[in-house]
Amino acid sequence: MRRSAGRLGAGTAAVFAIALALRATGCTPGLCLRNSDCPIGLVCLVDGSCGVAPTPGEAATDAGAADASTIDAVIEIP
Amino acid sequence: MLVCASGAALVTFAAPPAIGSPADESLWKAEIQAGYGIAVGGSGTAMSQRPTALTITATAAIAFADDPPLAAYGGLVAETLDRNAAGAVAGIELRPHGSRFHLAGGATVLATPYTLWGATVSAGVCLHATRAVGLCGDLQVTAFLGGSDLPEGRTVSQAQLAIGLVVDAP
Repeated sequence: MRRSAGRLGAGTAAVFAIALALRATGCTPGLCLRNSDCPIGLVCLVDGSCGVAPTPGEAATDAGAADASTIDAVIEIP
Repeated sequence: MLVCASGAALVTFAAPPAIGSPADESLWKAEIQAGYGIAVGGSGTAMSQRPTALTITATAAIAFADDPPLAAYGGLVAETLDRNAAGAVAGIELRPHGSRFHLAGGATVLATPYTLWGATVSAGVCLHATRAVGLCGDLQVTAFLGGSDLPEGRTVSQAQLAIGLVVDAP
């Protein structure tokens, strides 16, 4: 029993060691990696934030935010 | 000694002593596993890490070769805790004679609600309480390479510690 507990502890230590190694390489914790990391209706953007899915020809925006520069870009003033 | 590479980390396992186990001679086995760990994705300064979902896997394996001792496995996988996703796994497992150690490689596919597919390798040991029932511990590394669950141009890798209950049959 003591040996099996030791192996279990070694496995936990291995995962913990991976976490420390990733932290040391500068990984930012907490950002989204997959679309399923985000609330329903939002997708994971390139910068690791959750936002509205960009449509073709449109830049992505964060959830709830309006990007004025994008809006200006599509309005043509005669 | 077996060395398993995972991203920037190297994890070293000490191979168990060569003691016969029921799994060595079994024709088939069934296993249910729960895995939890760390996922990492992105590149350079945009790299990010976060805890994985809790992954529940139910598989059945059948031996198809004796030298080397190989078994084919397949089954269902589900992700839960902060999401609900379901899919399937399949692959090949190496179970050396006279050892509790095993090594496996295969594919993982999630089909709903998003699609996601990738390659998985794992290494671990099984300790049997009886001839038929045992407890297994594995380190699983999965690289998700494609599917609608991934942002465009991104891959995600994850390392999980998986604990499993295995039932062997002769």
